[in-house]
Amino acid sequence: MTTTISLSSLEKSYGRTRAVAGVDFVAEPGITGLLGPNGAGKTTLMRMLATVLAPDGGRLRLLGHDPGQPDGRLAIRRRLGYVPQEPAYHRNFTAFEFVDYVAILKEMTDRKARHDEVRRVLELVALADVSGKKIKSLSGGMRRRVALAQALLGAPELLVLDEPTAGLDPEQRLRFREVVSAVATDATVVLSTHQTEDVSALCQRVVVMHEGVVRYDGSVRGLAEGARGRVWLAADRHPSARLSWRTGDGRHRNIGDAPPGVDLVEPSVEDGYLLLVGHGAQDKAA
Amino acid sequence: MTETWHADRRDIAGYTAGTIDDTRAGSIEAHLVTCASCRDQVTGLADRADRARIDRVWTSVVDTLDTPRPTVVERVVRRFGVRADTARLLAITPSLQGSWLLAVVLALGFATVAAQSGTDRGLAVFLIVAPLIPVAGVAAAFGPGIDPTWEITAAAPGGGFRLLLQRASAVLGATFALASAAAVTLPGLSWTAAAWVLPALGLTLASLALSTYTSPERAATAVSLGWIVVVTASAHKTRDLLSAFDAGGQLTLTVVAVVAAILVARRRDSFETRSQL
Repeated sequence: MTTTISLSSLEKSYGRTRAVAGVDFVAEPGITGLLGPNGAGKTTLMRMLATVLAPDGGRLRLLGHDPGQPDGRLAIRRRLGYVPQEPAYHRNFTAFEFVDYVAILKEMTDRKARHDEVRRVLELVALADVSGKKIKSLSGGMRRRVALAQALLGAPELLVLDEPTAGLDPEQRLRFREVVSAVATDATVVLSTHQTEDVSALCQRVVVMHEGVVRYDGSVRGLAEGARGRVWLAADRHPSARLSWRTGDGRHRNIGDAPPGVDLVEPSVEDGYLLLVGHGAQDKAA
Repeated sequence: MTETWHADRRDIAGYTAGTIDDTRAGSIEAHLVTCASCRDQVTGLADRADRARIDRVWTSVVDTLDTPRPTVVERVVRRFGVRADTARLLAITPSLQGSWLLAVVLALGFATVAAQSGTDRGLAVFLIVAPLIPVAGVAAAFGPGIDPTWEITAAAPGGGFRLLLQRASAVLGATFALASAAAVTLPGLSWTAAAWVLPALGLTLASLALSTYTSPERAATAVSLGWIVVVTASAHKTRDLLSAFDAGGQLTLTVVAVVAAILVARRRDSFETRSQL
């Protein structure tokens, strides 16, 4: 299989803060999830994968090219789709106009072919019916789908999606999963998210980042397995639990070093993730 | 009544498509009245032809409806031979929008009114202000924090330096045209009416060069403040308000323009991939 992404000892700092502190991983066609709490360095890493931010150190190769070289960067951008964390739009664009604008930037010069492609991607994200509406009049979820539509232009080989499911309702999230999983049969997708459900539902592989470093890189199942024997239900919060919360049935789900004789339960991906990022994820657990 | 001969297939196709002459069409029609087999052929061809025609018409209607209506900026730049797709990229340049251009007209208007006094002080105001307008316009043309779609744009092959050059050229063209129009209204028209041109070019390129190290807004602010300080200091030293615009000043700014252009070309990578966001 072709290696689409190859990072080694990648670094990026903002002043004294090391946002990405020596990250290594490779990715091949399929969906790789990037999980981590706020401030873990996910967005910085995604921006470097999208070639808009230069690393301070380390080695980065995308689609066989070095994004630090002009020719390599251009070759990457011609095969890249990118959804930034907070996509913004010009006020008066309609959905069609915006995607068409990006299509021009993606060097689609033939007007008819370009418009056909714009209609195709808007259809893919189920926005064909509102393509003539101003983006500012669309819901947050629809705007997210506009951002996804532009990323799908030209069937890119590398898709970098930074929290694309934020603000989507369950039905829209399902639609998103359908689209991305269909694309990922040929393309390499890197999906940054807070949602362990997205990772469980979509990803073959997951990378957990915390404080700028990779804390886990492996299968989704393996992340859950890491919490086996360390998740139990009890009437109260247990003193040895690193994390604990009251569930819907009134019992406490405790995560940590389980004492003997407790009611161990099947661990989830979220349990494995919470164990890895510890305090950084306590806000989420609370 | 049953016919024992049938019309030629090509004639039937031509009749269906409406491409044969009236005489042959009349002959085919007379034959069709009595030949069920040829009528069937015409019906089948007509169905397909109609469907294809309807599809073509529908695609054309949809495309016409979808095609973005050109803005005023697009229409203007296309008159200068700019391609439709490039015009689209220029149309949303913040410093080519109506509100920005109105601000430019007002700033130039005030400077021109000041210059109408016929004094060196009035002319100096115009010559100081006019070069700063393209500096601000180019700084506001493209970049993070200015263009809301910057991150998506920068990740596209047509974004980055190429787009910056396209937009900077359009902004320079628009602001030079407006400033030139204002300059010809200056009293006692002389070479001084054009004394802002080289400073405008030099300062704009200097601002672009500086923006390879910092944000475009900071670069434009620093260059503008530097310009005002230099002109004021020169006037104070020589007791001549227009001393910065004499031959020596023009030569200096030409050198600044050349050096800045070389620096921009060498550091163009920093417009493609930012070191800080």
